[in-house]
Amino acid sequence: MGLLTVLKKLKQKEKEMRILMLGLDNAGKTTILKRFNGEDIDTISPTLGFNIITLEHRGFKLNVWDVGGQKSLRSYWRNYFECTDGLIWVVDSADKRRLLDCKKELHQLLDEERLAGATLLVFANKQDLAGALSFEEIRDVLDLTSIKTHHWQIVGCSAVTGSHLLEGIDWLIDDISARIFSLD
Amino acid sequence: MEASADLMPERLLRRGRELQFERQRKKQDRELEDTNRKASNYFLDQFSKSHLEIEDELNNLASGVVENSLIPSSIHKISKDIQTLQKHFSASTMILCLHDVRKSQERIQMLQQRLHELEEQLLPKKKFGFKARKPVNKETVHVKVADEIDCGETLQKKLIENDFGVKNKTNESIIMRGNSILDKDVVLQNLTGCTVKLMGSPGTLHMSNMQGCTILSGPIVRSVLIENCKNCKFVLPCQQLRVHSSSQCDFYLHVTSRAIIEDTVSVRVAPYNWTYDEIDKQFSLLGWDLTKNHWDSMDDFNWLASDKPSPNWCILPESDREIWS
Ligand SMILES: Nc1nc2c(ncn2[C@@H]2O[C@H](COP(=O)(O)OP(=O)(O)O)[C@@H](O)[C@H]2O)c(=O)[nH]1
Ligand SMILES: [Mg+2]
Repeated sequence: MGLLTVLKKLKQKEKEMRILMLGLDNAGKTTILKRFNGEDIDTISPTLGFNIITLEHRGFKLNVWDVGGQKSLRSYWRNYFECTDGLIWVVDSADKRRLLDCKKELHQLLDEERLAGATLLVFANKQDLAGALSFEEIRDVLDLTSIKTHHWQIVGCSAVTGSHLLEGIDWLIDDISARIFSLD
Repeated sequence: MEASADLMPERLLRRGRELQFERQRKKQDRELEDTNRKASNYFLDQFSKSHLEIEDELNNLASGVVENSLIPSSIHKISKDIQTLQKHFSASTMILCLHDVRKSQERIQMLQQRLHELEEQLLPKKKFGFKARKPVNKETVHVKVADEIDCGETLQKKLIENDFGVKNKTNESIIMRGNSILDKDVVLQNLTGCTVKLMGSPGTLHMSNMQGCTILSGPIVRSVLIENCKNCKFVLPCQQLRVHSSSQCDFYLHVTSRAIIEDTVSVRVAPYNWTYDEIDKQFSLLGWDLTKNHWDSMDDFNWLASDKPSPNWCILPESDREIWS
């Protein structure tokens, strides 16, 4: 039995969800993950490869994969798509210079067949910075309203202060569980 | 007899403690191993799938079913696929055991070799060149994307109009101090032959398209991002440093987590060595552990596969280090 089959089986039994966290490098993915896990966020290094963390929240087991955002790895993101229930797309709301790059990568991602049906949560991160765009502005720049293929939501948050992180995750869990666990 | 009777329980106690430690350690090891195994299984699974796909493509090519005119583009695609596989592998080596690292590397090499042989055999004269043939419908899609990017670009231009920092200057010397940059997102862009001194503590620092510049800064609270810079000197303390598509740059660094380079060559590093009046105060406000400085261990995202150090960066010899005023 392949690992994926095992994962699938486990998923049904343990209310497990597989969440993929993607975005350009420096967006704050690893910081969000460590913040959830209650780890020190001041010593985070740029991610080589990926981190996996299992979170337990509201009786659900979330397997969160944080995949490095550097250019040389982006073409390999698709190798992590299989069995993904939710996609968290993290944006550095203060990095205006790369928002276009960010938009392009996101929309390319959503075209991927293997992600069809996955719920999309966009974290407009770094809201604590004075130069950050609001989540409404990020929504418009990324042209989120044009997305018809996935359930999506955008939440302005800060991995540093921790604000609105849970709100986002709660929405994600609600959306996924309404889809997956009511189907059985 | 008496002496040894006294020693026995002591020895037993110690042995008991050792066993307990041992068990605890083993349990921790097992947990770590478990996570690693999950991740490495996942990688190997994906690796095998991609490997199989590439093998299929190679077999296709070898069996002669590929139309002559499509051979160059097919070879091009396979070579791209192998490259991607190599990159994914490189980025995953730290979760693999040595055996899997060697084996995966070997398998990639075999693919490369087979492709090379097929290329020699099928494209004997190099006349063809690689003209990637795109299907026509892709072309139309492309035009649409270009349109979108254009409208996006106007939007982006508007967004970055009120960036805080220095842009489009040649041969200038610029100093910014204290509160004016405190915790700000500072942007330096399109500079040639400039010297910029940031005597304060910016929140982040983004630098791009610079040539022959010297940039000195006080402690940057979080990350520094550098892109398309050539022939520059960077003297800065920060939490994270990311350098993309740059060359011939010297870094005088204090990094509390890690520095990474990607698509970057000819980098030299030295420890941070600038001071000015207020700097101690600014450092102490951050509460950094100043004994932690990883200036001498850069990670190179293009150089992960082997045990050899990256050829893209080295330590700047002490005799070549400059002193800043
Ligand atoms: N101000 C601020 N900085 C953040 C926030 N989240 C992450 N960062 C910083 O952004 C940099 C990149 O974070 P990291 O988690 O490594 O990004 P990743 O490449 O997406 O994993 C680090 O210096 C973080 O401290 C945030 O919410 N606010
Ligand atoms: Mg990371």
